[in-house]
Amino acid sequence: MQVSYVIRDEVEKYNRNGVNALQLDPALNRLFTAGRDSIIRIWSVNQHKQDPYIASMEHHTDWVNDIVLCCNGKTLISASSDTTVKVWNAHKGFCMSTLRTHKDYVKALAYAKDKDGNKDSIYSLAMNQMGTVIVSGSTEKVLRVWDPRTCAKLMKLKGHTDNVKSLLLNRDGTQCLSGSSDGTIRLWSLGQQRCIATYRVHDEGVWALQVNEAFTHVYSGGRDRKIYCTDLRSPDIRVLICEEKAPVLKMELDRSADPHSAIWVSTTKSTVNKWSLKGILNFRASGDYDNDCSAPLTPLCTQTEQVIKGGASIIQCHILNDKRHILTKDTNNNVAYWDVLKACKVEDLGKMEFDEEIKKRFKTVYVPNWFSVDLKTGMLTITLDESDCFAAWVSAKDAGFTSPDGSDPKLNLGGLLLQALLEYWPRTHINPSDDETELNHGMNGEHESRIQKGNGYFQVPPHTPVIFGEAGGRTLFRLLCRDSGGETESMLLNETVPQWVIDITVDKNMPKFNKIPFYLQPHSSSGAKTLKKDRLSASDMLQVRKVMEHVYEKIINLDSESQTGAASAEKPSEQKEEEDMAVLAEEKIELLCQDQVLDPNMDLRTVKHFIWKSGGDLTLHYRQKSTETNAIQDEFVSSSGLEKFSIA
Amino acid sequence: MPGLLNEGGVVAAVVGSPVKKSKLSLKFFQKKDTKRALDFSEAPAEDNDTAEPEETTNHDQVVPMPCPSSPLTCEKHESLVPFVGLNNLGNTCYLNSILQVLYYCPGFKEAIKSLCLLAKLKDKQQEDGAKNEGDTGEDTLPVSMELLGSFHSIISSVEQLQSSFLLNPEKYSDGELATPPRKLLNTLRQLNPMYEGYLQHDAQEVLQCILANIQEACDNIKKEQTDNQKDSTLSNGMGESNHEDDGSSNGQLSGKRKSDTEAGNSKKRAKSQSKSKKNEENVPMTRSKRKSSSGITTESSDQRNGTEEKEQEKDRGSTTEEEKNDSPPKEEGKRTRRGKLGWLKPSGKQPSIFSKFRSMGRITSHVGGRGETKEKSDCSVQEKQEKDTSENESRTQEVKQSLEKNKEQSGLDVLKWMFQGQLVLRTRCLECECFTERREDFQDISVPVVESISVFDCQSTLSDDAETLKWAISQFASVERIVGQDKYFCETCHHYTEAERSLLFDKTPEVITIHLKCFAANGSEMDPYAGLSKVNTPLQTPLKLSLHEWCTQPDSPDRSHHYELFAVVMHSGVTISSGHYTTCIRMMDLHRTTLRLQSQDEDQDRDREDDTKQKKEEVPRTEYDDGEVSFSLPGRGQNVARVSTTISMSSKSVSKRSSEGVGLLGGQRSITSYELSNSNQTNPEKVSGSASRAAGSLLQNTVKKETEEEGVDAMDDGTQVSFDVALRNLLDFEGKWMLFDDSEVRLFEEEDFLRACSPETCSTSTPYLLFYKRVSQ
Repeated sequence: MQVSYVIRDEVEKYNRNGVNALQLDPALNRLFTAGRDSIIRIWSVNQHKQDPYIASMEHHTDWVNDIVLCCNGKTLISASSDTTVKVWNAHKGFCMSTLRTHKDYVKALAYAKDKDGNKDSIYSLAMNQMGTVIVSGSTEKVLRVWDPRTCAKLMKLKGHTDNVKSLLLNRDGTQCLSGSSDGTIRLWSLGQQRCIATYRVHDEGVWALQVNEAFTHVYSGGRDRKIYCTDLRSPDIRVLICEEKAPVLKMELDRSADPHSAIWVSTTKSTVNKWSLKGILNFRASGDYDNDCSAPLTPLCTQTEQVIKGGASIIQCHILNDKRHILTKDTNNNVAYWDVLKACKVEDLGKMEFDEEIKKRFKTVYVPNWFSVDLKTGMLTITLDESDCFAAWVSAKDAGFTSPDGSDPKLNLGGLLLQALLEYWPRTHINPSDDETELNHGMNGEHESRIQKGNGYFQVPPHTPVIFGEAGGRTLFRLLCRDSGGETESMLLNETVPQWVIDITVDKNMPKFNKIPFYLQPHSSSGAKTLKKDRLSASDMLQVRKVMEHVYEKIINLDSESQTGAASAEKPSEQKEEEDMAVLAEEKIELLCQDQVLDPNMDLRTVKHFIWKSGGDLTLHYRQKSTETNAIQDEFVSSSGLEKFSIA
Repeated sequence: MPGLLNEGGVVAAVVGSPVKKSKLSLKFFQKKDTKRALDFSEAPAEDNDTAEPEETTNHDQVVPMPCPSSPLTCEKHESLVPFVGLNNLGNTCYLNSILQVLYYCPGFKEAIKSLCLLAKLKDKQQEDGAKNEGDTGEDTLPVSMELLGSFHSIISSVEQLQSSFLLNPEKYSDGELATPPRKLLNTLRQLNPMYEGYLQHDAQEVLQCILANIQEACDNIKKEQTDNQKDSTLSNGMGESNHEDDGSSNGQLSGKRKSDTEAGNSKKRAKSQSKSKKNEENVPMTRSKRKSSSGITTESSDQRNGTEEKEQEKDRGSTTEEEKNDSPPKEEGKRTRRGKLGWLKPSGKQPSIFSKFRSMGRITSHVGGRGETKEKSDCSVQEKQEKDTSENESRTQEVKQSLEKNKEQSGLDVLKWMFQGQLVLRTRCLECECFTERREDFQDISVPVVESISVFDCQSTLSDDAETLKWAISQFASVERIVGQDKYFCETCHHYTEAERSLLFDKTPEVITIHLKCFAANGSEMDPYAGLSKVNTPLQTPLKLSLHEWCTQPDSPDRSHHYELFAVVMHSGVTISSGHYTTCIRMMDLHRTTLRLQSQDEDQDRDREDDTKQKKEEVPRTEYDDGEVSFSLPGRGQNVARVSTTISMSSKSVSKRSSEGVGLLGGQRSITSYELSNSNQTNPEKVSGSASRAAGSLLQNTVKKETEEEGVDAMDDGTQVSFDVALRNLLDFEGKWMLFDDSEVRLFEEEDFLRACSPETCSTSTPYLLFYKRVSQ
């Protein structure tokens, strides 16, 4: 079980990624786009050309692969790679139900029964309007035809040499059109159970098909980015309608007029275009067909009639060394700087060299990995897994947090974040009363114990979607952060939240510190002999300064006073902090690792990662400071000093 | 060209046209001396006979076919087939079978020879010429080099035997034509202690071992050359003319490099065709000839001298390899070569070719541990394709270059060129249909014989498809889908997507080695082989094979994907733990070898001569027997049966193998030579010591007779054997399948052969390794 969340704006008005499917509601002039950003958006297409956005339908957590508008536009059904099929009220945009029968990506909407032991993934489906025939296309390269009323297999149609990605049936289910990755479009007669014609109009795979009602002209688009209209009766007659900027995923005809006046096209890019088909009439009327298939065609349209602008999707990301901030680059080459912990964007850096910026923001600090990043939706999806979620500890000061009492506690990043994500979930609230009375006092306690909610340091944006899913990626439950207080959500959370999350958010059991073993020895230049080689152990985020204090206090001082040279193996981290002592220590001695003088601000894991570098236990050497080494140290500090983050 | 094959031809050339002579002789000189312990008394006469045809030939032009003017002497042949067998040294049939395949593998012999020359040169320099042994200095050299040397010596002795048999068949009337690969076996044992003792072993492993070590030797030589080259950069820099000369010599050394000028080809072809059936495959060889011949013209006078010397040597009769090595002309040649080689050599160093099984699903292939396997992923297929095409182009260019310039192909890469192909592992995202590719070298492909382990129990139900080699290869190259829980992360989609992974041949080698995985899991038995048992149902083995449908590149005249079966290693035995290996080889280059002789490259000519002679010799060898063989003779009609019966179980011991290397063990020779002491002349040692005697079993005799009769009108004309005649006798076997069963060699009618290789026959003798060579179209 994993917990993920998406870092995003509260309202994502633009498609963030490619658009896998389109549906047009001619009655309301609405276009539905099924986005790879997991969001189905509703657009007003005939008015409001400037700002066509109406609403988002956000419940999926992965690519929405297909949508179908049915019941006269009242209901929308969507299929997603999060393995669910959802039924929506298309008018109001809320999710009415979720079907979880699938165990894998739902690529195309299946009205018929499940795949029936078919090992090959289905990439396309079509049902005729009368509901008497269903055709499925798959990597099996054959079309399988079913009767949805009886679930009987009717036939298999062989001919394609690659995956079948698009299918259309005519009204009475006697003819079928298929578009395949093999680059061909085939016309099949279901009555004769054979392929009637093969059309080779595309250079690469055919991914999207549309056909007019009369089943005489097919519109096709695909990997080669071109959209053709081909006359099924005379294949030589074809018109290049337009050329998109990215492979075509789906097309939707504007059927409000006949002949069709326009076609909507979605691609792997986030922008959806409407292309006018009016010119095609003139084209036909003039008889000016381009019969020479070998000659390059000039597109009918070079200008789109309407554009639903897309947003930029994040295509590249780099997790900075502090394991808290991320640099991303999007499709517009804009670079942004994000705070994973607070689930928000910190800064838009605009267009710049991504790699340069990464270099610029490099810090010599080591924090273990505690999350993973996914870009599949074009937005940042952060996933926490039990295995490493609690690996990262930082000092509150380093993280830019101040605690009320002015101390510098150690904070576990994963733990804090989980607490923040479930901040509104009543079970996580610490109530004066015990758990059993929590419900009764729920409303009262909520206000009173506000301070005891969350983690006490920061909050994540309330609109942040939180997703509970299986390790493989199957989504179990998605909710918005702020909704976890709701009754239904709260109940569902009780069922869903895994124990390891309960431990930290409800039971407040903080994970253990990571210990790091190391050796502390006098530097060879000091002339002192190592009497023993004690294996010390300390928190991996112990600062070098503390070790220096330990050395100063326990070894140097003892040496000078008693000459015994015996150092206790007491844990340095437990020494009480004395300002004077620290200053003194820093003045008098220095620590080295691999003969490199260490910055007192560095912690042990950073030393181990960036300076020790090799396997085996970390070994530190100490020596009294000499004047020459000061220069060296200064230099080192300036080059590797820790930067503090400013927290908004 | 066939006329050239004969030494006699060379001599004749000398007589007729001095220029030609010299060239030819030079070649002969360098390479041949080592091998021939012929009695040359007869040779001159033959030379004279063949001389005429040669005279007509120009260096550049194709040599006309020699007219078989001289009467054939067939007496000797009657009893023996003119091919040489290898004695079983105690369960070493796994080795013998592989050696025979390699020996007849087009171009391989020549490659070994040239490598040896290089290696020897090296030795000389190292040891200040103190010792030049016929074998590369064993003391100082790495074992791999030693292997090279011992391989060379076995080739030499085979060639000697063959030619001497051809020239003087009577000698062998009694005995058998076989030589014991003792030295090679010893080297092998040094290389891998596994081969100590008299256990049976897997032929495929031996093949890998040998090739890997030869490749290692190549790499060693290469390294040295580059080192030397650095030293001698200045000298090299002096003039390109020098380089060119060197190049020509190199080309010769390398032997079969095929580069040909078209014109030359066509001419040669035409001629050859007119004369006799010529294999398409021969063409490449002719190319090499051409080049070398052109190179020859530039050669210096000392080379001529050398050639003359050679001839003299020939006349004398037996010259030892050592002498040859010591002879000044050779050394010079070597040196120049060296410098050149370094110069020419591709800098890229390649790891030893043969490494372990790499399993991809059911598929296993041997993949070189090549560092350069590159993984590229391209978002846009177009770009990809462009890249690919460009790569292809460059590759084909490389090929062309290699073809065109013998010079550039120092013998060192011959092995790779011959056996190493490249596979492309292509992973295509089903979402965006972009693909990534990874290229890997392979030396052989291992294909399943039965559908899958689970199916094993119901073999009988296997579909027809399952029994064809094509099916097997498609299993090897089948498309795998990456779906379900374990999806593929597509860099383009930033998403886990379904994907297809296919295995294609990007570059096909000259010789495709197909390893039939003739085992299936039994499950029931707890034996050392983890329940594996041998599958005795052979695949339908086609004589022609096209890899077209699994290749990334279309067929081109340069490299067609059409292959022709030329050798099969058969395993007879019911279990995988023991059995007997035999080899069936189709005699293909007999003709071409002659052609080569005619072309005047010094070394190459020699080689070719040698080849022809070898082949000739080999042919006769068919008939010798150790005791074992003699036993088996009566049953000859059925090889399989015989083999199984003759196997002495006692001598075999089942050695346990680590599970990784499952193979068919074999090596049983009925009885080891020692045990056979009672049998008459069969003792292999004797035979080997005194150039084998031909042991004519009646059956064998009959076989030979038949073949002879079929061939050129072979008449017994007294004792005089002309090379020409000998050659012609040899040529009778062109295109015929010969069965090499250790020391015994005999004719295997194609029908019988096919029957043995087809599923219908339910015998315990099944094809195990198939060797296909490229057919140019």
